[in-house]
Amino acid sequence: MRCLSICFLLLISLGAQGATPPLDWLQPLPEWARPHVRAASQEAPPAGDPDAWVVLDRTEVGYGGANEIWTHRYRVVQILSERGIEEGTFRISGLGGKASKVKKLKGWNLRPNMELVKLDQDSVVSVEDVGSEEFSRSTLTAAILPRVVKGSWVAFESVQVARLPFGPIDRSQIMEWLPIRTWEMETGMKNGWFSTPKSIDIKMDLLHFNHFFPQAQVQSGQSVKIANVPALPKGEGAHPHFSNLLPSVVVRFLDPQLTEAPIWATWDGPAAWCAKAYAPRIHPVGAAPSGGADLASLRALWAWMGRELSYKAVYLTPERGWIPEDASEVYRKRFGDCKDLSCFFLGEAQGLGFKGAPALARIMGGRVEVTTEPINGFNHVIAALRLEKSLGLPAEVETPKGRFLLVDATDSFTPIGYLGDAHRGGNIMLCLPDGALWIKVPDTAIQQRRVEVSLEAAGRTSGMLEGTLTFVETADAWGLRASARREGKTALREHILSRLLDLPPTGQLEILSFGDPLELDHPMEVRTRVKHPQGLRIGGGEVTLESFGWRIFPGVIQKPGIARAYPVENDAMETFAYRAKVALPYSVSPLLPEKKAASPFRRFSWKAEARPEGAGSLLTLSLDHQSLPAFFGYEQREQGVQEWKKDRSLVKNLVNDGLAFKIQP
Amino acid sequence: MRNYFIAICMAVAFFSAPLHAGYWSPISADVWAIQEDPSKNLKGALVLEHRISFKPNGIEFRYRVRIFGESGKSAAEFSSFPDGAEAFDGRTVYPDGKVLVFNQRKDFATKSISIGDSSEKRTVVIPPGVTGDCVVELRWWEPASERGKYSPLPKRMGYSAYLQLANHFPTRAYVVELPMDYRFVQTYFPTRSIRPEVSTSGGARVYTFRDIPAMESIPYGFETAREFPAFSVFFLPTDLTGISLSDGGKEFWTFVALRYFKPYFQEKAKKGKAYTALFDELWAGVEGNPADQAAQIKIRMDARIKNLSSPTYAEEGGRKRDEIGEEIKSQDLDETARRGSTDDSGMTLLYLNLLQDKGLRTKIAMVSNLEDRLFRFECPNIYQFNSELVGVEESNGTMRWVEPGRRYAQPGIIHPNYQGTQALLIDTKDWSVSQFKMPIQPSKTNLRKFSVDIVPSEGMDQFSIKASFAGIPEYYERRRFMALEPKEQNRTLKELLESRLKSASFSRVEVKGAKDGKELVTWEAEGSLEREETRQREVVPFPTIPYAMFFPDEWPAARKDLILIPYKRVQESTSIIHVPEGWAWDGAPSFDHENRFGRVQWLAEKQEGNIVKIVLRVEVDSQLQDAYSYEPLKLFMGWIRQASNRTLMLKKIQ
Repeated sequence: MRCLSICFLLLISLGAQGATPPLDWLQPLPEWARPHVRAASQEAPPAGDPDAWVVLDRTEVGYGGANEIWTHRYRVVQILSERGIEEGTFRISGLGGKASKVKKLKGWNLRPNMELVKLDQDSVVSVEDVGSEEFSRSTLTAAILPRVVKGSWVAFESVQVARLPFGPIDRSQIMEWLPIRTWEMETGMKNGWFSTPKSIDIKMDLLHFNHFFPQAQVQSGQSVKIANVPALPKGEGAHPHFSNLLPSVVVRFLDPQLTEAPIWATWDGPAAWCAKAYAPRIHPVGAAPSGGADLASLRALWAWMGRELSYKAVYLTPERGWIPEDASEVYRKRFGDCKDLSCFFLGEAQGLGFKGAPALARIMGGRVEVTTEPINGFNHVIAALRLEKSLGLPAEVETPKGRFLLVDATDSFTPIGYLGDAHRGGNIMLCLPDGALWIKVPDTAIQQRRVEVSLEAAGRTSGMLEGTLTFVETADAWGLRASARREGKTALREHILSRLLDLPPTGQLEILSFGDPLELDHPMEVRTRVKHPQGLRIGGGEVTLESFGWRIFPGVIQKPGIARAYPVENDAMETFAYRAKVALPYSVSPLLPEKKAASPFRRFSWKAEARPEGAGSLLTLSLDHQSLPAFFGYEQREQGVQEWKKDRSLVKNLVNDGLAFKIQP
Repeated sequence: MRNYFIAICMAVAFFSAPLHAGYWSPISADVWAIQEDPSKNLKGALVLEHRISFKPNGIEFRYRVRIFGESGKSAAEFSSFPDGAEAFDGRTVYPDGKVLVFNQRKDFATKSISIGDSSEKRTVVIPPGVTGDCVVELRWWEPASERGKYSPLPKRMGYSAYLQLANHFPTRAYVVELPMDYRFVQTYFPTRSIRPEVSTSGGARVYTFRDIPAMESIPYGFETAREFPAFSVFFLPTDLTGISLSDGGKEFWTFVALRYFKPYFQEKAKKGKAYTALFDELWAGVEGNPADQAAQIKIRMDARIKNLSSPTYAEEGGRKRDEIGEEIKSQDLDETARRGSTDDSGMTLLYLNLLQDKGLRTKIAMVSNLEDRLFRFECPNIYQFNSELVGVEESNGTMRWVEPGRRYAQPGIIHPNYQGTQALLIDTKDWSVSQFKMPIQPSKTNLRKFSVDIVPSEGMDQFSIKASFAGIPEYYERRRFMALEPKEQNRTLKELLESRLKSASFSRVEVKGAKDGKELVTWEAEGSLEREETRQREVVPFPTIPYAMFFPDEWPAARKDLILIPYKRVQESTSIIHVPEGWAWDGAPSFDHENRFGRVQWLAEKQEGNIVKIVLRVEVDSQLQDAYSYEPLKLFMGWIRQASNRTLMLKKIQ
């Protein structure tokens, strides 16, 4: 009887433990984590079935003088699913080398059975960041907490010290793929374990907060606290780049003593610093053909650079992300990144009699925002040549400080005098010795992306379509020039098969000829011979032609039934022309002889003719298609989704009906 | 005394890691001059030297590659280094003379690569700083366990190493060197055109194989069947050294079966009360012929004993602190029964003993995985095998095979990597041996079946899918889900289906039967497909249903290697389309094509109630074909693509 009672009491006690953890269950976690875990454990996780719930993400940023930023991070996560176990890994990005060091890294894994597993130093790895196409010295420190399971409470604490080449400025993104219960950032802790010297002015700027966090608790220049940060929406396409969309906090430490890096008090600080850093490295090395300060000489220099130099970002020290290689070193190596190539170009142009300056820009993902307070949103460098008189080129801009020609020295597939499409709508900051000069890139400076696809083919009753298919590409619109330059015919064939055409296994493609990818005076032509066994689909009294090279069908940007979170944006600008002469073994008439249409995202005109030829028909087809930039802001985003759907129908009808032909009895 | 201890430690460190800094020579101008040359089959990279040096206490690996194009960067990707690998010494050298040195495991980045159409992924490691124009040189050391006391090979290799001497890029020299007095037997397998130069150097015998072509990844190919040289070293126990191989190996394997395999599988298995209780529990109420009984025991055993070689997330996370790193005693069947868990070897031993103790007559097929090597009966290497299958005779005289170590695999399936390969067959009645070709299972064994019901409505097609599987597809589907809890299984399925068709979204998905192998895996899904307003109403009959065969990104223009379809199969999809009012279907010609690889059929018929029924059936009825069948293979694949992409066109009734 006594035994039975004890068993009964034990059962009650165990049952109680299962329902409510013991009072001291938080004891194994660090003190700073406990109140957050306690509060979160009394709430239901946010809706949406997240894999994990970030209970706290807190960053304290301080300045230690001499360009040194200290970042103290605290993060607590509740693991809610088996997939959430990945959150047992804590990642810290850094520049490696002397630029940044992880000084402290601790981790706690409180498992559902209340067992505590602490971070083992062997589980901390630093790896080169291979996210970039070429090699850089960036590092990723990953701390992997062992034995994380569903139900674990995971806490990390880290201290990182960074001396960034571009100065004491820090930008933190807030939102992530997981919901966050409390997000905090605080600067210059007075009573913390580090402090910021009094002479340092601290600036804190909030970007893109209005839509997402109108209720954020902000103490100017000191702290931001946001409750219940939602997870980033998934599966939305056609939105502005995250850097121009999502909220972030920028902290700047204005150190009047700072000499080794720019002071980000105004835009003039980083601009003048860049001008100074570039100046000693810009000098003529006499590599390019000699000449004078005229257009012919610039073209000769441009042609030489296109053939002799290639783009590679090989950074063996963190500083190289901001400071260019000397022009003579670029010449010796025959490669460089955007800074190096700009520096080399400016040096050689100087030899021709031009003066110039580097200019900071952003490409391939968002645009630089010209805000009142400076933020670091640059990822690219181009060159600006001062012109005493116009050379008559589209990429010339008149400014209060004179006339400049903008040259993207990395873009060897765009002729000098133009900028590539990546700069369309962009803001460029000229780095002059006395400060910044902003330039809005004029649309007229952009070389329009244009591709013409022409087909001359004959179809058979078996469905086989065979003929020549020719691509004529301006700039590097569809990547043909880049492929041809990289590995010639082989790369071209691979590129066309994997990106531009959808041939069945028995289809054939042979490259007949292709132009010089560095010949920029005229578009590059690639002639191919193509065989498509199902190039004609015959059925229902109709014959339908394969849509060779029609890369105009818009993708799905929103899952049906899910409210849109982001604005809708289409920033593609491309002209596509299609010309075809196809002999068919049937007498046919076009289902869509002619159509002109437009939507916010495109306009096109289509014409199809069929005239008798022998027992069949000869088709003459023509499509002129122009994609258009469009933007639907937060207020109009659902309308944008609807317009996008209508646009899909418009294109679907064009493809389905335009390439379908009624077989005459 | 303390100093003496330090001195010993230093000596050990010095001798156990025979690599040292400053090892690499300058890169000569002729190496930098190597460039793409289609006439010499040079594209992207050339492996300058791949050297494997067997030592008494481990293996030194050395690899030098010239990369001269973007496509060659993958020549510097390595399979994940084994746990014991150490003493990394490498560098990336650039044409301008800059050198990036790396010497630690953590210097390498990792990358995950998907393999074929299964859910498997492979992890590779990449040295730092690899560009499209550089030389990467790397060597590392993998010590033997216990400093080579029992085997000069690393622990992961045990007592045997088999090397296929080729890389994914052309190789100028593949060198294997061994000490003259190396303890293990060594043998090489030349090809018709590549024979080694054999020399001696510094007390070692050196085999140099030159100008080995690239082992390119080709669709539906397998590396072990290609004509590349191979090298093997293995331990030959003293009592096996004198056995004649003149009869092709029969005498050798007969002796091995009695001397080694019988004790391993039977005599050394430790059985006590817990095993007996488990035996009684699993056999309770089992009926039918011996093959059926054996099948039931596999399913019951899988449900009762956890195979910790393939743990679920819950099992992995639920292990207690003291269980981590603990050695699993596979031969102790009593402990297996007591703990309710073991590893894949323990499952095999348990299964075999459960059958034998019941009096069932069993045979064991010892198999090699064709991705690693092919079993050679005439080669006296007792470590050639990757797994064991246990067979029980069916009433019709054929064998029903079970792979006990393959968790939750249904009884009767033979993994594709063993089908059609040579195996060593052991009859446990008298432990007699024979050479045996593993059966190639017929297509109907491996079934994927999808039933789709589509109701076109305003702006959307509502649809539901029911999927069922058998054989290998069932196993692969189970692999996708079995480690996950039910909620995660459903989510994984939803994401998989939505990734196949971006305009589809699913309101309900449910995976069934993936947890314990007691029933076959099935799943159901309901969703909708956004559609555009067009002149004709186009209905996709099989939304999100995968092709019956895996489609590679690219088909090489020509081919000279054998074609291996992993397994024969049938995929049958049926779609019922409810034609909405005001619309009609004019019919569509059926599609029926057949060649040496199989048959593709697409049939559509009108049914009562304004319903259209479409059946797409793909039967793949061939496993191995020669290179001359490449065009028929492409044709067959083209039919699959064409039939799978056919849509139904409905016209508005005027």
